[in-house]
Amino acid sequence: MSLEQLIERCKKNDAQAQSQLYKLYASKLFSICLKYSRNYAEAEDNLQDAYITIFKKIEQFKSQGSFEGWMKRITINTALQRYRSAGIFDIINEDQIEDVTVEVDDDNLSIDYLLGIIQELPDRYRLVFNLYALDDYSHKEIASLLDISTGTSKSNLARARMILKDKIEQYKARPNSQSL
Amino acid sequence: MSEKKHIDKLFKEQLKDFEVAPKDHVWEHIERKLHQDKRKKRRVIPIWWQIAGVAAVLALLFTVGNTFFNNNTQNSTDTEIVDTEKSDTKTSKDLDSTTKTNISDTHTSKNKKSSVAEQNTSEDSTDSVSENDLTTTESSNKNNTVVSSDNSDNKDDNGHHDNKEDQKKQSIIRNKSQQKNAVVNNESSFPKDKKDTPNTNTAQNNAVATQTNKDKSNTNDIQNDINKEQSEIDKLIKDTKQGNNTKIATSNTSEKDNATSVIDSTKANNLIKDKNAIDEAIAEAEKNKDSTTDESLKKRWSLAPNVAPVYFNTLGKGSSLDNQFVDNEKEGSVNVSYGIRGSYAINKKLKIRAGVNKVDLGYSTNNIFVFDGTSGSGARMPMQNVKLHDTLNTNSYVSADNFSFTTGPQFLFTKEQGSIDQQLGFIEVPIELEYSLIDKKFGLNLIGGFSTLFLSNNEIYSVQSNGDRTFLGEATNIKDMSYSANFGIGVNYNISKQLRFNLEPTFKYQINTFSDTSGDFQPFFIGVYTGLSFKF
Repeated sequence: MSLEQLIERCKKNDAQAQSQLYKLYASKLFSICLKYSRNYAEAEDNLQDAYITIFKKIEQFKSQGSFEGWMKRITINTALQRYRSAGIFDIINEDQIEDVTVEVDDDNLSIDYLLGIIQELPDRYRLVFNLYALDDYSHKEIASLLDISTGTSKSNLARARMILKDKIEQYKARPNSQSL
Repeated sequence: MSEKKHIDKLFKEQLKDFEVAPKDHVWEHIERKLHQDKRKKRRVIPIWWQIAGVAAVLALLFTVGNTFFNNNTQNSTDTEIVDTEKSDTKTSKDLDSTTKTNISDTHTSKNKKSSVAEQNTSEDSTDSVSENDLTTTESSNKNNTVVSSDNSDNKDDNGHHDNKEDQKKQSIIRNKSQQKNAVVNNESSFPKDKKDTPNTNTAQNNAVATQTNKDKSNTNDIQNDINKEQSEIDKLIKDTKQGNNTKIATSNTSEKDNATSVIDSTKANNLIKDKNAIDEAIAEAEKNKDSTTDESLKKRWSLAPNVAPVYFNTLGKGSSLDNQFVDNEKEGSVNVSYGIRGSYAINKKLKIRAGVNKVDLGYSTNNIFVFDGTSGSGARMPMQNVKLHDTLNTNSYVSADNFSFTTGPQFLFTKEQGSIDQQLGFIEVPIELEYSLIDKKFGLNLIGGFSTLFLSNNEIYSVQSNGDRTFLGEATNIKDMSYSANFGIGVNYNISKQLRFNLEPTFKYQINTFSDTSGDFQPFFIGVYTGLSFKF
């Protein structure tokens, strides 16, 4: 069965098709959820909410454009929604820092480790870093998505990079770093 | 060993193909939520709207139908009211004069003849009026001609007294046309009144006279027929009490007329005339019947406390508790429901009613083994939809149907064999339509509608075969608010005009009561609602 057929059946609320569609994209979307969330449990909640939104809004999906992209956007939006309402961007009286190039040694750092330090980032840094560095959103887009200024977005990104760099360097400086 | 790399690139490359399969329970949650929503949105509400739609359409049809059929009588009474206002002051005089003319004209007792004669005169006068009045002329003329022809026909028929059915029809036609005639007369005489033309006065008088005569002849006929003059007058007086002013006038008239007709009838020997009059009387009586039934509808409201034994069970094989109990035998228990209901009669056939009931429902799942989980193979097996009250309770409840001998050792630890009782209590708010099929001393009606159920009690007990009953906890899958579709047949007996005894076996199919059931669990309950209803 083609993706189009599957989508059509999902539009008709076909339970079997919904299950298939879920299985098809669950891993991809769950990885997004993990990157944007603080922890595993939150990511699960996120995925759940995202899929419910997807199934509810699947009727609105027009066949033009990538379905996967559409689902990704919904998933990211669901994640952002969680923080938007929490008002994490309200405290912006920190100094805005300039964007500097942050470079690190390209050792084979495990995905789990990288994911771990992303999740440990403060919410606002994590979101901006994810959007900009990993999902190719521009600062302008991020600014409108998160309802912040592009300046704040840039500053948050820079801080996120600094934190990540520090963590990686600290990690490598550990005496038993070779054993990872 | 390693080269410097932009941190974004590092992360991006590493996480590019990063995929993690979520755990199964995530999908279960999603499915449940979707399912729930689907049920809520796709099933329950449409059924609601369907039922409500049908009910609304029925109600509309009956109301429209009712007003349409009642239109005729209402119109005539309306015009009669107009009649009175105009003629009230004159009636007595008019009547005197008409009765005089009666006597003087006919010199005999032939009431009929005299009325006919008068009608003719009235027609003449209306004709003369309508010459002056432009708009109403044509219609009144038409009416008049109808009347006159009918009259003459009647006369002939009276004389030969062969075609009774024809006469009946004609008399009805005549009645109607007379009324119309009277209306026309009145309408046309309105503007004339100011001018005080003698013509209009006579027209009016005649109009009144026509009415009077009609009533007179009717009363006279009935009187001749039943020989109960008084009762007829009483009836008329009763009619007048309904708030119809005209009829006061008519009853006055008829009393007077009766007086004359008594004289008339003493002199009357013509039985043929009487027979015709009987036909007319029948026609009139039919009219009266209509008006009396209208009267009974004035008591539109009623209040009925009721009590019912209710039996709860499931239509399909399923369980509200746990998957493993799907095939177990379910035994519905009989509980009590009681409440109060008010109803409003939209018309003679249809009532809308609403109320509040307290309903207790329960059923037991039989054939269950209870064993101590700690001494068994280890883990306690909680029931899917039950939140245990005592968290230290280590008992496991297993369907004996599913019990295979491969798990034999567990059998050794079996404490008891018994059942699990689920007890539910609801506050039920029914909204129903009641359509009456038979409405005599004994009545029969059909009832359809829906109820909204608010959960008020939710308990699960373990019952052992020795009769011990232990409170286990509550079900987690019962919605706070659910619905039922109701169908019933009502039998009732009218003890008096105010008081009625009802017996209503009703089937209620529950919708959306459980959020998560196993198998095909379709709960319903049947209640035989008994009670007295008071009309007011």
